[in-house]
Amino acid sequence: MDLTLLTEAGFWNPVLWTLSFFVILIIVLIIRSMGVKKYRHGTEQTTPFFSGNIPPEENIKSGNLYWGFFRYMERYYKILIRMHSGIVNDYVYSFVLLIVVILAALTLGGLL
Amino acid sequence: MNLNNLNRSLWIFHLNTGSCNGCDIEIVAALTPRYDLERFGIKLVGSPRHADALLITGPVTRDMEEKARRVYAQTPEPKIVIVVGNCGNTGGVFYESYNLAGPVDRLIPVDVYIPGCPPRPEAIIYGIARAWEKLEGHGGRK
Repeated sequence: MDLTLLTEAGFWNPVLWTLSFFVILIIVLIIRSMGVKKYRHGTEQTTPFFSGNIPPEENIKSGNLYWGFFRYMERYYKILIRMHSGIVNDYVYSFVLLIVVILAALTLGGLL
Repeated sequence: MNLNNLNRSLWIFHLNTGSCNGCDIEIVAALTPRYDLERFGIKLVGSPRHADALLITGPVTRDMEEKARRVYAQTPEPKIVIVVGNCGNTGGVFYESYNLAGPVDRLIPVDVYIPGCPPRPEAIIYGIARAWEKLEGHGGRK
């Protein structure tokens, strides 16, 4: 029985895939065995490095580049989120209010 | 001292504990093409978790005490500690200051002291090489 699947997109053979998997696994285990074994579990050596500070309890993913902004501007963002209700009437009210403020500023400034 | 006898490259984590940056500039100078520390396999890394050695500058201010202890604890063993500059060695001009938790050897064990204000890059390279010998079990002998 021929298990090989050959298409224009590529080549696939489950036996070859399984063999490759185990060969790579053996290589990985060899490299892993070369690592430092004198690791002290349950000490600072198993905690994340956070520039010498105590690492925050929440899990910050590496893709979250703006974590610092979100954390320290949280109050500001909360107001912004509240303003963006998704209701058109709210946006029109804001628009009208903004025009009133601009016109008042221009009038008081003597530009109108 | 024969650098051919050394088995592995040496990865170093640089920790500033309140230095004026004089020593830090000399460490950077040791990495420039004029001295080129990296040709020996010595390089600075971004985390103590990857380091064989800690290169510490500064007299250890009170704010940095806890952080210095934590960074030392996070460095895997075997590890060596190299102190660069008078401040880290003795406190230097900040000796017995109210705001000082150091010098460094008051907090963590130090293997090599490199005095100077700041020490020249040659002195830093020499100190690192001696520490490297100690790490690899040559006992720091010539």
